[in-house]
Amino acid sequence: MRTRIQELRKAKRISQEELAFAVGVTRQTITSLECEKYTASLVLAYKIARYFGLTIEEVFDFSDVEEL
Amino acid sequence: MEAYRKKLKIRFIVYVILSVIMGILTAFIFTIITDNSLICGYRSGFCFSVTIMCIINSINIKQALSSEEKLKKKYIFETDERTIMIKQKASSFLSSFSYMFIAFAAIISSFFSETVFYTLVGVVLFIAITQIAIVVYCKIKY
Repeated sequence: MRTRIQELRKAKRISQEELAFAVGVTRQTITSLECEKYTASLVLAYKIARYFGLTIEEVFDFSDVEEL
Repeated sequence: MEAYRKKLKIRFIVYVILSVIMGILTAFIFTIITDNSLICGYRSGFCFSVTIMCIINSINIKQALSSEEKLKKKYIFETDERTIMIKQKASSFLSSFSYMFIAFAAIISSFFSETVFYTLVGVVLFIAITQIAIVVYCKIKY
C-alpha cells in the first residue's frame, strides 16, 4: 500500500528510528511501510496518522484497495 | 506500560526460580551420573543450556526494568506487529510441511526399524491432533 510516511517524516525532519520509537514499532517496520512491502494494521495506521496530526486517509492511500 | 512492567517482574521471578532448579539438576547430572553415553551428554547439555538461557533472560529483564527507555525498547522488540506476522507465517509454513517431512521419514524408516516407524507415525498423529485442537480453540475464541 502506498503511504506518505517518508514524505511526512522528511518534512518533519525525523529519522525512521524516532518515528518507530514514537509509534511503538521497530525501525524495520517503518522501512517496510515506506517501501510498500508491508501494510500496517489499523492500530498502527491510527498511531502514525495521529503522530503527524492527520487522518488515516491522509497518510495511507486506499485507492489500490479492491472493491469486492 | 505498567502492565508490561508487572508481566516482566513475574517473568523475572519465574526465570530465577527456573535457573536455580535447572542449575541444581545440571549439577546433579554432572556429579552423580558419570556415564559417557550420547544420551547422557544430551541430558546434561540440555539442562546446562536451559540454565544459561534462564540466567541470560533474567539479566536481560533486570536491565530492561532499570530504565524507562530500555523497557520501551524491549516492549517494542516483543510486540512489533511485523515481527509477529513474520513469526506466524514462518511457523505456519513449517507446520504445514512438517507432516510431509515426518511422514516421508516414517516411510524411509519402515525399511530399517519398526520402532522408529511407529514413533514417527505417532509424532505425525500428535502434531495433527494438536493442530486441529488449536484451530478449533481459535475458531471458538475469535
